Amino acid sequence: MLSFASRDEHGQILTYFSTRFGIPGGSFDGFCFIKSGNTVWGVSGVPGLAEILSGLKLETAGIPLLRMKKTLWKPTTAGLQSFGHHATRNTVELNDETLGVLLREGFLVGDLCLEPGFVIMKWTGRVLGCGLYSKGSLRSQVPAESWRQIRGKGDIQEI
Amino acid sequence: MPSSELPTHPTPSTESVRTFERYREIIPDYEGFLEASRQPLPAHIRVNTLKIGVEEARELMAERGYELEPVKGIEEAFRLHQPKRPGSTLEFFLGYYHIQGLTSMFPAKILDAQPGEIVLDLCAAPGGKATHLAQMMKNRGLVVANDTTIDRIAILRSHIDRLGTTSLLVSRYDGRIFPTRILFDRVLLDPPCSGEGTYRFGRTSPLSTDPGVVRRLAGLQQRLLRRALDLLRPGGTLVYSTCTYAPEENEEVIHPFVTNGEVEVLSIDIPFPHSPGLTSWGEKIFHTDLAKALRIYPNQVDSWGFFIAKLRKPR
Repeated sequence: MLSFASRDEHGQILTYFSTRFGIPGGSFDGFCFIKSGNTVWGVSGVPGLAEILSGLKLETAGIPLLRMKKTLWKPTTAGLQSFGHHATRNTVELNDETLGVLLREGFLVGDLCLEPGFVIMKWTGRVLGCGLYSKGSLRSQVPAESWRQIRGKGDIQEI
Repeated sequence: MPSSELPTHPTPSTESVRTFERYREIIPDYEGFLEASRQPLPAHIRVNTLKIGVEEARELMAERGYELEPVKGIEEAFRLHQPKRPGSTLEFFLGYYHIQGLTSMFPAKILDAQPGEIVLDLCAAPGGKATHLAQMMKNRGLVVANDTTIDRIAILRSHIDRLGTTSLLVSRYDGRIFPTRILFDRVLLDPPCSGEGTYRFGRTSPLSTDPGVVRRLAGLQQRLLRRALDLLRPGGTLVYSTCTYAPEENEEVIHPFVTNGEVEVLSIDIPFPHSPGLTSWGEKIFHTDLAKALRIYPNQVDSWGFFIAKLRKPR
């Protein structure tokens, strides 16, 4: 069952992205937050959306932004790819070499100037998706199937 | 086996030749059609302008060693000569492009949905056309992408996430009984079909080798079109498309709705070679306006074969 996030929830979602990643609230202007279970979806705010939401049984709406568990909020790769370019902190820039290591080894070790927790992984300035930084190690949180596809033979130059 | 690695001159199966033989009189340059069907299918991509500009994408991919050839007539379309596995690249993962047959891009182009509109794709999975519609509307409208099977919807969902189509809503109704509580500005109906247009020799014979399959599909298509028209607001437009040549699944499905005045057939202007829709087939006579529909064969556009009709519901 999909429903609009309440005003309070809307504010909490904006605060999360602002606090963790420095993404200004204005980046989400023109979008609605819709909830189903523990997932928050980002949807284009267009006249007619409320009527469709009440008139049809929808499976999903827009793209997933967040998975909300009791104490842990996890941003999605899809959401970060669409909104993560506004981020000013907890982002890690990867080049071909470091991305190659991450793809091959499954983790990247080093002091990456990140707060522990979920981070935005970028490759040459482009948002790849969600990573998890913990105890000096970065691990990909990109959906496994997508990661497997781009991993190929461990050589990102192979196209 | 990737299509790009198909043998260039496979032997056509007797069954396949027999299936297409009935189209000898309606397909222009029939021998050329058979020859085109022996060639490997070229790979095409659609740049996802929701995430990257066409020129920026072209430059980025050229830098990375892609061999791209622009398609005259569709700015966001490119023929892809390299890489061989376009579904395994970083640019694909980033949602910068979608792998889509060139002619599969035509229905969304022809429907021409505008920002702010509410659009229904009644049989949407795997989602190439629905995400194209969202792209054309710049994510500033709503596209309800409906399909029935969970597996196909899962593929559609993965494309939505990758392409960042925030304007796409997914539903899972049987299209024949899709609720009529909402009326749509435009509807795309690309129903299940016998898929003759996706056939290239060397592949499995098309479904239409069994005439019973065509009959069953035609019945389903007619019921889907009935409901699609019920879901269209007065004055709204509907594009009906299939990737098959069988007139039973194309002109014959639309003909009764044109004859009884429920829809009018609109002319279609596309900068690609094509043939007109049929106004007769054997002893059957179809409404003359069905000549405004398009038939596209692989010897005209090197891609999937398609049938496309654009319809308008009177006010």
